[in-house]
Order: sequence, then C-alpha cells, then structure tokens
Amino acid sequence: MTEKDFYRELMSRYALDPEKIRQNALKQAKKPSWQKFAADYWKPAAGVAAAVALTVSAVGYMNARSSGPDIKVDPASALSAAQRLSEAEQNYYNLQSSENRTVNMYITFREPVSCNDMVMAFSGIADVGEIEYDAVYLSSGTIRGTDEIAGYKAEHGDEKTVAAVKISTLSMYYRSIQDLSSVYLAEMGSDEINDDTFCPITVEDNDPLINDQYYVTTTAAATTAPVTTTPFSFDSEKTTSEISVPAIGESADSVSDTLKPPATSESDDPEEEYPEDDEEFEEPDETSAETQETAPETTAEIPANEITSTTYYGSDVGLLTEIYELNVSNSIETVVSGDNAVVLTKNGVYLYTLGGVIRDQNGSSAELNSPKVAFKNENTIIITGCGASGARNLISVADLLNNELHTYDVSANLGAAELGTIHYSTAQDKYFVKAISETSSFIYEVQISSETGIQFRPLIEAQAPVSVAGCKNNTLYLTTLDTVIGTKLYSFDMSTGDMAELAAFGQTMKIRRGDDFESFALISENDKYIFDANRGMLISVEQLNEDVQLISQNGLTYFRVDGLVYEIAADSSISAVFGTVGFSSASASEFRVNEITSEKVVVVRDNGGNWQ
Amino acid sequence: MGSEALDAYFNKVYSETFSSVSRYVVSKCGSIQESEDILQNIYARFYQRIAKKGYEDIENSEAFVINIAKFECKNYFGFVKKHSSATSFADFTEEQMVAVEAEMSREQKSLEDVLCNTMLAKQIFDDIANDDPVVGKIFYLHFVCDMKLDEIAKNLDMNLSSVKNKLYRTIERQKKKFNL
Repeated sequence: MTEKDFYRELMSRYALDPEKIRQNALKQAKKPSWQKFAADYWKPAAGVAAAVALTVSAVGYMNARSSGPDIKVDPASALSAAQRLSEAEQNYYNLQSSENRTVNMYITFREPVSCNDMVMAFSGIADVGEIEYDAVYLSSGTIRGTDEIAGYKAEHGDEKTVAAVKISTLSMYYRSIQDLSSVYLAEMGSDEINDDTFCPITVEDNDPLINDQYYVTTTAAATTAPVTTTPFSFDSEKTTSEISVPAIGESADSVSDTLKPPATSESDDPEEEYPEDDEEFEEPDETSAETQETAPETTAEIPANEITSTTYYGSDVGLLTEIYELNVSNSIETVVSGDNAVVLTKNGVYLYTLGGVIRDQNGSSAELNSPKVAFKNENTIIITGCGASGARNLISVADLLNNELHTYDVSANLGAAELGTIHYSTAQDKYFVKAISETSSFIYEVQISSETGIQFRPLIEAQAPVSVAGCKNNTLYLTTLDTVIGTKLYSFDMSTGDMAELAAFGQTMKIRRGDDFESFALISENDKYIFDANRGMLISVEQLNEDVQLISQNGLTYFRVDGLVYEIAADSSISAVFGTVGFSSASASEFRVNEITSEKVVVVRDNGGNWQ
Repeated sequence: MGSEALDAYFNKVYSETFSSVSRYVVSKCGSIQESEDILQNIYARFYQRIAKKGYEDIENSEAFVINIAKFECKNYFGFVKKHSSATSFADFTEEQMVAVEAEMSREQKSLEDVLCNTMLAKQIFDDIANDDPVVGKIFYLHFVCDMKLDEIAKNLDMNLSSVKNKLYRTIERQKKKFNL
C-alpha cells in the first residue's frame, strides 16, 4: 500500500459518511416542520435536555397579587411537545409496515379542516379500509362518540373547525396518515397520549407570531384582554386576564413554525430562492459563499475632530481632582467604565484610557455613522453603527482590558436585518444579539474574543417582535408581544432547538433583566413576577418595581428594590437579607463625565487625597 | 406520489450526485466536519422539494442539487475573522517536494497495519481534520475526489505552492508523530 492509497482509504473512511448523511437527510426531511430546524449548526450538549413543561397547581393562581402556589416543573408527568414529536418520530421509523393491529391515533392537522375534508383525506390512503372516528377536537370543544360526530358532520360538515381527531384504525396506516399533507402530527395512543391527556399541538395560523401586523411596539399600553380563550384552551372558565399556563395534557407549546432557528431559512417555495438551472451543470461559481469579510481594523480616516487631549490636575478644598480634557468635538455620548472612556460622535468612536497618561488615539478609534452604545460592563463596551449603506450592521467592540477597539462588518451575517439590542450572559460568556428586518426579528448567539474575533450563530427567526429575557445553561428565555394576546414567555433549548411556551399573560409585561442575564422580572401595572431561572419558576412578588435589580448567587436568585435586598429561597419563600450580594454598581468607575461641550469632553476623577 | 417511488428517485440522485456535491461543499465551507451538516441539509431540502412538487420537471438532477448546494453554502454562517489567518512555516523547496511526492508512491507494508488499527487510523484522521480546516479540505479533495493540486489551489483560491506545502508538511509531520 502506498501513502497515496493509505490517505485515500483513510479520508474515504472517516471524512464524510455518505450513508449516514443520506439517512439523516431523509429523517430531517420527513420531520414535522417546526422541529426540523433544531441544531443544524450546533454541536449539541451531552444528551438532549428535556423541554421544560410547566403545570399550574390552581386555577386561582395569579388572580391576585398574593404569592400563590408557584408553577412547578413536574417532569415525571409532563409530556412536552418535543417529547411528543420524538415519540411520533420513533413510531414512524420503527413501525413495521406489515403490522396489522388496531390502534388509537390522535391526529393534529396543520390547520383546521372540515369534517368532509378530513374524511376525504383519509379515504385517499390506499386500502385504508374502515376508520372509526372516536373524537373530534374543535376550537370550541370536543365531540365524542360515533353518533355525535356523525350528527355534527351532517350539520357542520363543511365548516373548517376540526383541529384534531382521534381515530381507530390499523397501525400499518400510521405512516401514510403522517405523510398526508394536511396532517401536522399523528400520534399513537399510549399511557401518556390518551383521551385524558391529549391536546392538539397548536400550529401557526392561530398564533400571533405570524400575525401580518408585524412590529407591534413594545411600549403599547395593555389592552383589554379579549373574552375568548386562546386557541385549544378547553378550560372555558379561564379568562385571559389570568395567566394561562399549559397544564399537563394541554397544548404546552403554541410555538409558531416561524419562531425557529433560521439555520436553513425555510421558504414555501424554494425555487423562489434558488432558481432551477435546466442547463448543463457548470463549475461552481468560486466567488459565491465566501466567508465574511472583516472590516478594517483601524479607520481609514479619522473625522475632522482634532483628537488631542490634555491633562491637568486641579485641586479643590481638601480634594485633588484629575481632569482630562478630550478634545472631541460634537460628542453625542460618552461612556466611562473602569478607567476607560468611550466617546461617540456622529460618525466615530474613540477609546481612551484614563489615569495619568492619555493613550494615543492610534488604533483606538473607528468610523461608524450614528453610533449607539448597545452594551456596557466593566470589561467591554459594544457600539453598533451604520456603514456606508446606511444599515446598522457595524459592531465596534471596546476591549477595556486590553485597551483595544475592534470593528466588524456583520452585514453578511445579518442579510437585510439591522442590529438591535445586545445582552450578555456572564456565566456563558456569550452575547445575544437581536437583529430586525422589515418582516422578521432574529436572535443570534455571538461570541467575541481577541483570538477569534466575532462569531455569529443563528438561533431564532420570528415574524413577530421577540425579546430575550435571560439565559440559564443552554436555555434561553424569550418573550413575544402582541397587542391582543399580550406577552408570552417561552423557553428555547439552544442545543436541540426545542421551544416551549411557559406562560401567557394576557397583558403587556415589561422585562427587567438581571445583572447576570439569568433571572428576570416581568412587570405590569397590575402584576409583578420574577422568573427564577435557577429553578425554572415564575413567582409572584409584590415588592417589585421597575428599578428592581436581580442576580443569581450560589444557585439562588436575589433581588434588590428600594434599597432592600431579598432572597428567593428554594421553597420560593422570600426574605430580606443583609450582607454582600453581587449586584453591579452604577458607580463602578472612579471617573465620571463632568462636562460635555461642543468642543470637548471633560472627565474627572476625584482622588480624595494627595496626589503625587 | 407514493413514498416508495419518491425514495427510490431520491436514492438514485443521491448516489449519482454525492461525489460532485460533496466536492463542491468541501471546497466552499469551513471544514470537513461542517460539510457533513451542510450536505445533510442540501439533500433534506432536495427531498422536501420533490416530495412537495414532484421531480418530473427536473431535467438535470446534478445541476439542480448543486444549485441547492450553492444556496445552502451561501446561507451558511461562517464567522467573521478579526485577522486573516497567517500560518508561517518554512516552505519546502522544489527538491524536497519531489522527494515527498516520490515517497508517497512507494509501497509500504506497514501502512495496511495502520489502517487495520482503527483507533490509530482515527487519530491520524482527527489530526488532519482538526489541525487546520484548509488541510482537511485539501486532503479530502485530493485523495477522495481525485482532484489535482492545481485544481484544488484554484478552487480554494490559494497558490499551488501553499497547497503543496500544507499537504506535504502534514504528511511529513504525521510520519514523525505516528511513526508511519
């Protein structure tokens, strides 16, 4: 064997496994639509995290501001949508086509169908024989019994009201039924999926996430909640003024097909996105699909501001003051953090290191139009700005530890979208960036390091406003807002792509994020909650106001409001505590901006003592 | 359309096009490991298309799948590098390269034993794939896709000398590291 043969065999064996790729491609292609976007560009964490499923222990919960029973995670009894899909997938692939036993099947349709359509669809399956209809799930309730169903069909046969159906038929037809274009999910009856527990999985048309009236403002006043219940909520006594938290067996996930990781942006008509080429295959265009270009490290042109700085030291009675004059004209914002100052003008960003010697501006400035500070902590300041196209797709990262300013053009990552808010998870050392286009909002996980620069991973694409609220381990917590439905809270598993609705508030809730981007508060005029990310629980807390600060420490959530610090214990009890808790301090820097004029920015440090 | 006929058509196109499509994807994307995910997406999207709209209208299946590949590679989110990667190593001279090329064609009995040692063989592969993404691509395109080095250089937008150096230097390094 020659070396050539050796490497040929080695690479053929280990590089790409065609059979594995083929089988995975078929599995991916045949999965129910909203799950198939999971983890395309992720390296999954060990195992598949179980989706959080919440139960509500009392209907009266959340009706008043008193701290009622908490919402508990009850994994032993809850079957999340992700688990149901997984079960269905297992059945799909494992069921032998020759199997000939009579089974119950619970079938959710992609959109409500009429009884006549439903019967027609099933009759299209070859050799289907007899199907017994046991229950029909309508948006207004459930009809059980052959006679009752026949009576409903006779009277309302053409009305598109059927969300799901329970049938009895031979198991050998299971795959054919799942493959029907009108069927979203076909599930076999089991201990977990039965008449007591089954509820259709909500599909997108009834979900405000694909509401055409996109861009609901997040500051919209809470509207009067409608009287009708949310889709597939069969508890007619529940009003939308209560928080509707899916109970076991109810639709735990009303996740739109469009709230999904955009790894393969799904188009109803792929041919719109890549035209068919009927001509003979040509060599691939080598100019396509290159990796993103990097914006130049340093600016080509410093704007006309004369960047010189002087330092002088003045004194006041009993107090020596260091004064730094940064000759940046027309500053629109100056941010001080630690011993650094970042000055923004209409078209530039300047980084200064303060403390005795003013750093030379070379390598510490960047040209951005309309810069805005998007994120700040003691180590990093992130500024977004507009490039030559006018779109907000430039990111400048002021690395305060290394006194460096780096600018990245992320237009290729964002496409038509523009940069929005940026949040940072301390524990994960990751940023979560929101970007918005005319029709969609996107959430990206972003990693920034001095070694590798900036990396974008797409997480979610939604045709509705979405906000990130917190992150714990591999779970991202999101909210959406619709003027009619109000705020909804979701969890998103970043390793599997599983999404679960946690709560629907029926009113607009404002997010108050924790200092460490884990736990967070949701506050309205009437209701106030803390979502304890350590335990996945939503807790009513009377004391909250919009100035509350939150942080996790030693596995517990602490919050500070009106100068008092409280601890949320493992049993959800709340008690005031004393002592040191690591809330971030607004006055972490010794420096402060003393004055901004049209010609300069004056930053001072009060030494409080003799300076030498 | 019956799913059996659909699967049969898919499998036929898959086997006919995998070689050219994988060659394209490996050329375009970051690394061998990422290519597998992208290939999966390409063929999944192809299956969805023919399941939804049929395949009677597809005249040239290879061109069709390659167009999907272009789309998938375009949407693939690579990372923005702060600095372009710069490897610095002493280049082989022409004489050295000729010597390495000659060595590669020489029969060596021990290499068959190495391949039979699954753990060692996997280590050698991982060493190639994880060291430098470009090296993995060069090895795959040259040894599996049978592309000539000048073709590879053109596809990867590199000069021929760099491609040769990366290839030969890796082979020489592995000889020492794994006692080949």
